Amino acid sequence: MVVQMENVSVSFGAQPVLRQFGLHVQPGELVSLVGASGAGKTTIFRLLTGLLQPDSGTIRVMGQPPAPGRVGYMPQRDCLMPWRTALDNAAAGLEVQGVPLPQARQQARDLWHNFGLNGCEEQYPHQLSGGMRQRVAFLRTVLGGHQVLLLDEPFGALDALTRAHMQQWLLGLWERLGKTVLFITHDAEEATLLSDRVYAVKGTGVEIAIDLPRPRHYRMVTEPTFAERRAAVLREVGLC
Amino acid sequence: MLGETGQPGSKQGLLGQAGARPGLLSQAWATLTRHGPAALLLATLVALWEFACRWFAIPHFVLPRPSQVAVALWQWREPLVLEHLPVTAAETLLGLGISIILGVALATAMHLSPTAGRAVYPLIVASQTIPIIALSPIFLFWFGYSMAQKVAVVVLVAFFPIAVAARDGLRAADPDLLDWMKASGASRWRVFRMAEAPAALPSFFSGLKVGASVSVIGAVLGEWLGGQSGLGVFGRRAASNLKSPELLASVVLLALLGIGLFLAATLVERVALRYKK
Repeated sequence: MVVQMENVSVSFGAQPVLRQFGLHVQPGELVSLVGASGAGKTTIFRLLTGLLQPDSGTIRVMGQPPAPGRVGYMPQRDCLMPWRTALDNAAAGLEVQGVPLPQARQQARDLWHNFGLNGCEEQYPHQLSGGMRQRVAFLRTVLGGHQVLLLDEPFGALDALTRAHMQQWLLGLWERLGKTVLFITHDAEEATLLSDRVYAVKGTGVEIAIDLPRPRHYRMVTEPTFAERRAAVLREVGLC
Repeated sequence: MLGETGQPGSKQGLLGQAGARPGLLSQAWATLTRHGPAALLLATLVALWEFACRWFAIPHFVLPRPSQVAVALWQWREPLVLEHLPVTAAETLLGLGISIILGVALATAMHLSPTAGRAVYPLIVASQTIPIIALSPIFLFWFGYSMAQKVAVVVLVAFFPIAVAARDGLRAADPDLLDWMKASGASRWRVFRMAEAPAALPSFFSGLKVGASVSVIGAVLGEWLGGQSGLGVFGRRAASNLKSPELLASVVLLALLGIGLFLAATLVERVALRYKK
């Protein structure tokens, strides 16, 4: 098991956010956390990155307690540095770990094509579309070289068409990279399309298996079996 | 035949023959529309000033006409430009340089150490509540009528906006970006170098432009207390002899020095923040 949370509780002041929360992720899985705003999804990521300590419970990442630098983390906003070019922003994923910039740039260039970023190496973030910015941010996360990637609503700010395109792109990339991905989303359809399992987060976590065949494609969303799984996710989140 | 053939007489041909001229013309037009209103307002004010002085027969020692100031500037050009301006410019630049180093160092220390911030920040603010004109004579006791005395006054007035702006800039870094860096295992130094320092640049340059402008005031204040040369010394001597045109001639050069420093800071800012284009 690469990620394990047992009976984890967190409160902010008198406000409990997570109560006896449990989660486990196997190597190579894509697992989504779905829930309303304030349900505690981002808190789970902060716990797994070591930015926050739980009040009680046990957390293990790759068999060890969470600590900064142990997982790849992609925040809700792309958080690209406006003063850096797209290439240098991607290279920052290695640079934060102490890799010299020229070497980090070269490693970013090696993956540049795979991320569909050709031609925008020297562009600044404000010159990129939302989808391209997310690709740069994802490359930055992947370049860190971690087995576990935490993606916090990476497509939340994109329009529906770009979002569908990016979901398909992420699926293809995940299958090629063989990484373990924990994915936060508000969207039951997105969670159902992408995930092996979904956790409906409402302070506690309820696990829903998404036993749809892979590889998956966006056209699956019209199939009855997909609709059943999505309905199950919505039911556990409390929306139907 | 007229048309888009590239031949002389055609639409394309005319544009083609003009070569770079349309570009030059549009550049000239852009410059005119950008700076024209300010230049026109300045010219109007100067003309009104000249007219009012003549119309109301204002004595030159009360308010000299712009033409008298121009004449004084021409007559005294050699001592003003070759003797006094370099001294004031050197004091200003040296004081501004020290202010940048001191301001940035203090801002960095206050940012990296909350304890240092709590200790130093109130003192920096307090330093600005002291009337500098009242404190300046103390520098005379410390440094005498030397350049160091003038530079000290420049530093006293210029380092505050630089230090405060740099500190505010360092605190303005995107918190989500900082979270990402911490979660990625970045050291404190790397967070500072990669995220906080670059994020502070826009604010720092705002402070630098204010500091550059007021540094000239500091140099003149220092010179007014005494000295052998400098535009402030020249102006004070002219004032004590009721030579207002000469006094304003030195003021014109001081204004040009301040504007020059402001423009230089703006130029450096444009280069450093070229990603904003």
